[in-house]
Amino acid sequence: MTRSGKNLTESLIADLACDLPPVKRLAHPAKRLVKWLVIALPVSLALGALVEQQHLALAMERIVDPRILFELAAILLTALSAGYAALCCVQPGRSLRAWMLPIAPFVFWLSLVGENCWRLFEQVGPEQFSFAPHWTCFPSVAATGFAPALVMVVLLKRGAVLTPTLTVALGTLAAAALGAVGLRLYHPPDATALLMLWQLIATVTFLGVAGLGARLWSKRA
Amino acid sequence: MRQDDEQLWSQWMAQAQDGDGEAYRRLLVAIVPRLRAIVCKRVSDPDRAEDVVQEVLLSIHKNRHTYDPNLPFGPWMGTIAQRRTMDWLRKHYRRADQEVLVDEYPETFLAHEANAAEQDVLAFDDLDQLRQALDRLPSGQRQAVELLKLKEMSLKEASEASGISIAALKVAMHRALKSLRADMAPTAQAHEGEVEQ
Repeated sequence: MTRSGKNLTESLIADLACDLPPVKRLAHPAKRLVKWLVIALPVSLALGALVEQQHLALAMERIVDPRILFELAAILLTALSAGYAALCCVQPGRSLRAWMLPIAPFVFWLSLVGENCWRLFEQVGPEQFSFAPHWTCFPSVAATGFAPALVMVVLLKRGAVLTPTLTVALGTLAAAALGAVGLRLYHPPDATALLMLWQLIATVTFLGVAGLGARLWSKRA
Repeated sequence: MRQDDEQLWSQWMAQAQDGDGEAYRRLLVAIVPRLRAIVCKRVSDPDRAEDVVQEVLLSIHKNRHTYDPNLPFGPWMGTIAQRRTMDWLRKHYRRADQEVLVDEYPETFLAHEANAAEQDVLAFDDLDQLRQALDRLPSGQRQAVELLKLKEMSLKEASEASGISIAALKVAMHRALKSLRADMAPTAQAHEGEVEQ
């Protein structure tokens, strides 16, 4: 190692320590998760209700249906575990095994979606059953997914994104799952698998655009 | 890493988060050997390893708010050091794939003065004088030299890092080299004299 390299390191340390401003410590991931839930869930539900006004009565019926409640619990558990894991990813030194937390609830949620699809397939037959996109679903997907994705991006950007792929994957799953809570309540029940697919695509797109925007912003700052 | 060191580093980082520059300086000086050990496991060239250590220090500085004083300091620092080293290696190999090594720089212009790479090496051989000459440059030109020559960034990378357009960087670099040549002309002439003898 050259002497100039060491000198540069020493002068860098002196520069970094000079006029050091205090910083606000990042809170525990659990606290940040609660913040995400408290802000994003009500906004998601309110926007979903606004877009799906004609189906509010349906939501009232669903909320007392034990099967739907069971499904909502699986969705919410997926959102919370994925959100917690994503927030752990941006705080170095925390266990990297947190990424495994959402696996069980997500698989359970998928199995419920699969069962719904099978029932629908049996009811309508192969001619009527289709995965083709329904553009009428898009406003509901966007309305319920917007707030969870936006708040998640803000929270993740506050941390240290050292493992971008894993962080974005977990953040996307969390945001998509939280958005799916409102979607499952308000939207007509026929296409849970299709809606979930849409939800994931919309959230990935939004997270990608927001992440790119934040990256450009931080480079210019 | 000793338990005492770990506790002391954790304490210094907590003080640094509250704005204590002296505790921060002590911490960074204390962890540098450890960072070098982590980086040198993957980067064999000592000079390049030192560059990566500096990158890690910058990353630690940028992300110091993410440290939780209730947790041990070692895993926090180790995670950042390992990730930044991997990032550097990825970038290095990507760049290496696109580069072609040549024995000699090709002649680009007919005029002899335009192919003055060897003269530049001679003229800029005196590091102390070069550093002084760099300090005398206007800040924009100095930044261009630091990014393009010292940190060996491409024009695109330097432009992204500094927010300065590529055209402006080229102009600043050109003017900086001109100023440096003029500033160090006596040294260059002395070198030429030595070579001729």
